[in-house]
Amino acid sequence: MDFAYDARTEELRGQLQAFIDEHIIPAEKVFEEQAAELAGQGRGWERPAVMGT
Amino acid sequence: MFLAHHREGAGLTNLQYAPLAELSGGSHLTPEALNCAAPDTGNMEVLAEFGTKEQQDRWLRPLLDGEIRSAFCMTEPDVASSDATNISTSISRDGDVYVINGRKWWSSGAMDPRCKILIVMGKTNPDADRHRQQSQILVPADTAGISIKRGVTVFGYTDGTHGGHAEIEFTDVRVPARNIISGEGEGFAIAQARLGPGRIHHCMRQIGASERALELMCRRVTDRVAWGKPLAEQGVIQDWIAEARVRIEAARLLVLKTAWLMDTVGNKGAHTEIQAIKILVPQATEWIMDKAIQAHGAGGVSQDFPLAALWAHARTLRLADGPDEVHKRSLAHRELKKYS
Repeated sequence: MDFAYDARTEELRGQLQAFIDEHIIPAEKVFEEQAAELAGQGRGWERPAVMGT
Repeated sequence: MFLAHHREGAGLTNLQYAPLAELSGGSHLTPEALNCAAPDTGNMEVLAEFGTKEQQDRWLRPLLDGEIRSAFCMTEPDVASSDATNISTSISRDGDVYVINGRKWWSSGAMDPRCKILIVMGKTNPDADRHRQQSQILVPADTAGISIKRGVTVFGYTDGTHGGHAEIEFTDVRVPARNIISGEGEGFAIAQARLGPGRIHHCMRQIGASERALELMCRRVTDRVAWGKPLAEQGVIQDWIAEARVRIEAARLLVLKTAWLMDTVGNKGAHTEIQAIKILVPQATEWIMDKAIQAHGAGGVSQDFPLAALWAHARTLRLADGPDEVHKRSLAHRELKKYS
């Protein structure tokens, strides 16, 4: 039994956590604002621009 | 990161992917930012696993590149779809084409204007063996005869920014015969293969969502003062926090064990554990969300915190990909078999 994550997992976890801290968390508020704006324009089925799509 | 497990993707084992999916569950934006969101994940897996080279070039590649979105059309309003053998949309052969007729709902992703491809499940042979009656077929979203009736809401949420959930009517929808996935009669097996990993991915993300809720709860009760002391000093709040931590740790260990079993003995050998986490995790998460909301007071049900949406998602997962009762029934049957 070994309960530790392996090296590759730890490496990817570090990268993902950095991505979340840098890009996702700051984008959450922007997402909500853009989503509300789209909904107000009757475009509630579209992705907010912050998703980069 | 996708296809996480596939040789053409990141090539991760389930045990390696689980902690990453967990992290991604903390925000509803992350799975999509990583192109690891349902239903595209499952649809890409189906195409990678069962698609022809032509199907993969036409649909898998743009999905992997994030250029288009997709939907999975299985659940039907007119039958108890938790028993997938009930799915009755007809897919009948007419020369070089298949003709599709039926009504679907909870076709997640189909409200998105960028959704270009639907994977539709239906019956090609109602007289075949129970698990060989159905097939899955690729239907371009702009095919004549497809009518999107409405977006179905989840506790009032449209989930519009994630593609929504459509009710769709198919009337004499004609697609080339080569659009069938893997062949006639394979629909049930593909559905099983698709939903297995989907269930564990949902559970992994729910652990992350629970961590987020616990963090929000701890921050809130540390900041808010009532009757002269922080809420964090109230015994009942401490009980919620301790219970939440215990439930998260227990759920995570079972999810990791399940991931390990899937890697070592395969999805079939992990059957009991996959069902166990599908039963345990959304319930644990729902309880934690509920307490986090309670600790936030009325703010917890508002749009100013992610808790209301997280709760709605956790509660919905007790139905999505098979209701709790279906998994319990099947798990109990297997347990009882040891004694019969």
